[in-house]
Amino acid sequence: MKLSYNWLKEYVSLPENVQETADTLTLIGLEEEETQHLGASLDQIIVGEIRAVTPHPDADRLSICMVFDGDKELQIVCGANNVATGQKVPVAPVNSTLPIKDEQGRSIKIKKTKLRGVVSEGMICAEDELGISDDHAGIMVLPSDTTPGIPLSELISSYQDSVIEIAITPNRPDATSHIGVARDLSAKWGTPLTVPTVTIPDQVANQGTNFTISIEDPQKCSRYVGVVMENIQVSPSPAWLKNRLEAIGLRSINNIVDVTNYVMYEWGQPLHAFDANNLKGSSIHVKSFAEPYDFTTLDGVTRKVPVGSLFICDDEQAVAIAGIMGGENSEVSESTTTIVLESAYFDPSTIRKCSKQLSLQTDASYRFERGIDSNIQLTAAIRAADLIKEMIPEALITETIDLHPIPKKSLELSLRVSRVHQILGVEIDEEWIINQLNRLEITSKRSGSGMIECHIPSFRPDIEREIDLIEEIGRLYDYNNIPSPTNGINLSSSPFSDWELDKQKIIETLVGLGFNEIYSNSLISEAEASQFGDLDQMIATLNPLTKDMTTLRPSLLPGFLKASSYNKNRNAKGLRFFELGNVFFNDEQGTFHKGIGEQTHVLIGLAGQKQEDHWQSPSSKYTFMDLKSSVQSLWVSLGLDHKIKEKLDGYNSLQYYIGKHYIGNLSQVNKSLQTIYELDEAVYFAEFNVQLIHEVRREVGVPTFSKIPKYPGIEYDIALVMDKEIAAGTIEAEISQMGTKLLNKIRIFDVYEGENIPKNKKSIAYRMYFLDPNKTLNLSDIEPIIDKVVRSLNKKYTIELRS
Amino acid sequence: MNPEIAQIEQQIKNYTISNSDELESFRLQFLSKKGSIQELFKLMGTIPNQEKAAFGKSLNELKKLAQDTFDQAKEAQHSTQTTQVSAIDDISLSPEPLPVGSIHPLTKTLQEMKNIFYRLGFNIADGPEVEDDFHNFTALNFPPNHPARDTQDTFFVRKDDDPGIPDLVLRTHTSPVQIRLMEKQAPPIRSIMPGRVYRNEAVSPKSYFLFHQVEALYVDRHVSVADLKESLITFVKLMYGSDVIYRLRPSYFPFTEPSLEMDIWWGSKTTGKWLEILGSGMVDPNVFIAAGVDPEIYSGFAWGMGVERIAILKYGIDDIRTFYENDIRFLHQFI
Repeated sequence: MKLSYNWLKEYVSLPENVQETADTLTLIGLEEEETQHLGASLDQIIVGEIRAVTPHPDADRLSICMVFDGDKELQIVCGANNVATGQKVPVAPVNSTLPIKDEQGRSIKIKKTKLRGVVSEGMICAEDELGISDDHAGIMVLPSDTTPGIPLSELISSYQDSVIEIAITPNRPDATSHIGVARDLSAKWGTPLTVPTVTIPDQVANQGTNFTISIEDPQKCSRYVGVVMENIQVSPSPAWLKNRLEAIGLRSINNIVDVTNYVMYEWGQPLHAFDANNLKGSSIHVKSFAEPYDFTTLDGVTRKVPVGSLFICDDEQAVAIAGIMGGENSEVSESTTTIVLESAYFDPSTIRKCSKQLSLQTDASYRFERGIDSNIQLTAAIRAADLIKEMIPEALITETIDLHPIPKKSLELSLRVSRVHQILGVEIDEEWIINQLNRLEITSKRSGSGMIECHIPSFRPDIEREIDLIEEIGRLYDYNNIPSPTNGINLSSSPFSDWELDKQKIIETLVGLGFNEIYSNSLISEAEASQFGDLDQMIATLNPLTKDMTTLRPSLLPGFLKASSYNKNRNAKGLRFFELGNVFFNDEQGTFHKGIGEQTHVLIGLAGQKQEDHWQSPSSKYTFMDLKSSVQSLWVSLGLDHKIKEKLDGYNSLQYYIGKHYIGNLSQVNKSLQTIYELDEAVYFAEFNVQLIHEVRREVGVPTFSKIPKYPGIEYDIALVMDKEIAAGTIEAEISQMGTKLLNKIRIFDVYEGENIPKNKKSIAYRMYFLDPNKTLNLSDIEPIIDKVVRSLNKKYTIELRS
Repeated sequence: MNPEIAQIEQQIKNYTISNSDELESFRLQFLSKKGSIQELFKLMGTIPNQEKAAFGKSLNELKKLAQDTFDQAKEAQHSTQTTQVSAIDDISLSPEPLPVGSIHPLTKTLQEMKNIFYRLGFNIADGPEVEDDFHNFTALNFPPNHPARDTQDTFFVRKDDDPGIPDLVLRTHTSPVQIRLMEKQAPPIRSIMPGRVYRNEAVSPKSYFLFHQVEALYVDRHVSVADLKESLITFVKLMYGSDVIYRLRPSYFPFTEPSLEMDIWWGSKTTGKWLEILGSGMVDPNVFIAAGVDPEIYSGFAWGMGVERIAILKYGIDDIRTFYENDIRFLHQFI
């Protein structure tokens, strides 16, 4: 909300330095967002007289104006459509600087320029360009008796004001008005708050003599004040009112509408004025309709207002959407002579719901939905009537009706001084607390030892509990003043969880293996997701903003492919990526919630060139083996290399198991995905379930020391000739199993097919390392083992030793 | 000068050394024990006393000249030799680079934060990204009609008319993990909860529909705003340096009361500005009740901050989308 400094000053005395006030507001919870100084440095802007206007030969929307600057005529090209000969206008001549800054905060200097080929020697300004208001509807037109050539600052020095824009948290409806903000400042500074005197007339009744009000559902409207005024003359507002409203970014409409807005920004009570002559009958009904209702609001838009919304109606039809916007049919216009001023309390949730459904938030709805002061309606209405009478002395109040079916009960709260200490961590003097609360108009008094009785004013609906009072004390005390505790936080020794450490270990290992970590989107489009499985098995959002974010990723693969594609398109040659993140899938039992599976996965991927041309070796592409070797290093790093079993799944995919648990796979990305992601070289990825890895790592436990072997081991090579269909890894696993405890390591050192070997056969050469921790091994220790292995392989797979 | 000295000096100056043989014969002729300079030293006894000093001085200078000439020639031969190795043995060649891995800047920032909290005695807890209405909103004291519950702001995964089936959302903050922790574990609790959160927002340089948060929760007897303040200050000093300028100001969150935000001064004294870096507060009694903790016995504080925001400040990144594009030229900057 924007605050006019001049305006605020009426209720509380303020320092000259605006920033000081802005900083104080921030520190008491009304955060300053921006402070602007209006009307500053208008010295360089002069008053000009438009002597002639001709259309621009090459641009429909531009005109060429001859502007007299008091001395000579300037040719200025202007885009506004309200320029006319004879107008007195503000002119920024060549070399002058505008009072406002551009979007980057730089000052704007006017230069002699050509617009569509026509020389322009300055600029005719709109109000926003002068920092006077946000109005950019057209150039600003000055009174016709203004002398050309004088600085604009002479003419509108009264416009000088500062505007502090503050952010209002949802718990502070009271701060949506100048008086509310002034109250906070007066409490903080201990200076008096002066609010305008409003004298409530004697003849207020809950029904009028010639005008009546009815409320259908008092839960939705607990109070309705109506003031009927006659002899109204609608005219432009006086300068002071106009300036106030324009300073805070409102447009001045006319004296009646402006007064309703003024009082709203003064007291926080939204008001509405109806043209009584346009009301059918002489009553107001606050009610809802059973059917959606087409209604034209005073912005000229016809809206379908949903069932449940609250309306203000005359005897025949709706004349306003309650608390949101008035109707075109009862709008105050120049011909209005009698008005009904409305000042009501509407239920916050009713207004909120309707405003949301209509996507229409107004200054009024903003306040009603946060909860306004439930006790201010009559005061605000009379205040508005007083202001109208000031401007229109003939105006007469003929009826003042205050229908108040549900008076709000006031709230009393007890506050324990000890609790204040406990929560804020600082001992605050009881007197100080009572004083501060009273300054906030929370009437407080001591009621026994360490207890304070508080009466919560109607403008603070947010204060409902003791803790809310403690917050008030905290913010006025200023959190920056709370001393640091002398004992400090107790040290505790909770270490990182194993889960956390395992995830870190995986990341460290993969970074060490030269992979680059990526973060990919966990929401992807349905079209993309459908490439990775059955959509029925995936989790989708019901209300995505765009189609790009419908489905929760079932795998980390799409993110990797997208990142690869993105980089390939930017000429990256080779990519080594990994990602650790959650994937989602349909799962009846669910991980945390029935129906939703959520798992942490790690993906490792390779794409493109392993190596560009280099003097040491020619260029090469990544292969399946490049990724497999990284995956094996990962198992070693995690201490799982002996636990992991792999299983062939087709010719270009491996599945990994720990015990019976499938933990993931290593595969070449299929051709169709490659095409979709525009990747022309082979892409490999491995994806594993981190939770399962973590569980097994916990079983494996901490590595224990085993003695460095004292005795040398022995190496033994065998070359085996086998059918090509037999997987070398299967035989390796068989050998490992049969090799007894002495077999320490096994590796394949040669793979051969071709001459000297039958066509359907291949030769695989295995080197085995045998080791006995207790003695030096001899060949004679090993040969029986080898013999047994070869015989067994021969029997099972008809494998023979290569001679 | 002694004519013999002058003669040898001339010989040294004229000597050309272009290979190792010539270097060796130079050494033999002038610098060896039987070399001509050593021979001259033997003459010392024959020199009259008053000339001895001058003779000795010029002889030493001669010796130094010979030694320098030798050293220089030797040095020169060395560098000549290098150019003579075979082209492939040239060690100035660049070898094939091994791949160097990198940690994503968000992980890097997160790790830094985790390490700071570790030093403050906080451990790490986790929760689901798909969360039910109770944990994401109700237990955190969001009133039924709070704007955050609108479909405009939150991704819904399940919305059922049957009140027995809870609505599911993509969590909008990491605060629900607070509730899960308190449900599972009795105080004292001192944990941080990092994770991915979602907002149904349009993508722009300043906002993305997903981002990461770190939530901190401390619950024990006698925890106060003063303790909260102490932990906040310790954190920003460790994160941004001990000279960081900060301020605390009142704010509002449904799940804390009182609530406060912390700003740090970013930039120079004159052109800098306050930047909000985190929100915090004392756990609202309603939250304690929802999670089964007695607010009269226990109190606690919670705070939350965006990882992206901190990384953006730390590394001067100007567009939040950069984090999810995974451009290798970006990733390689965080080795």
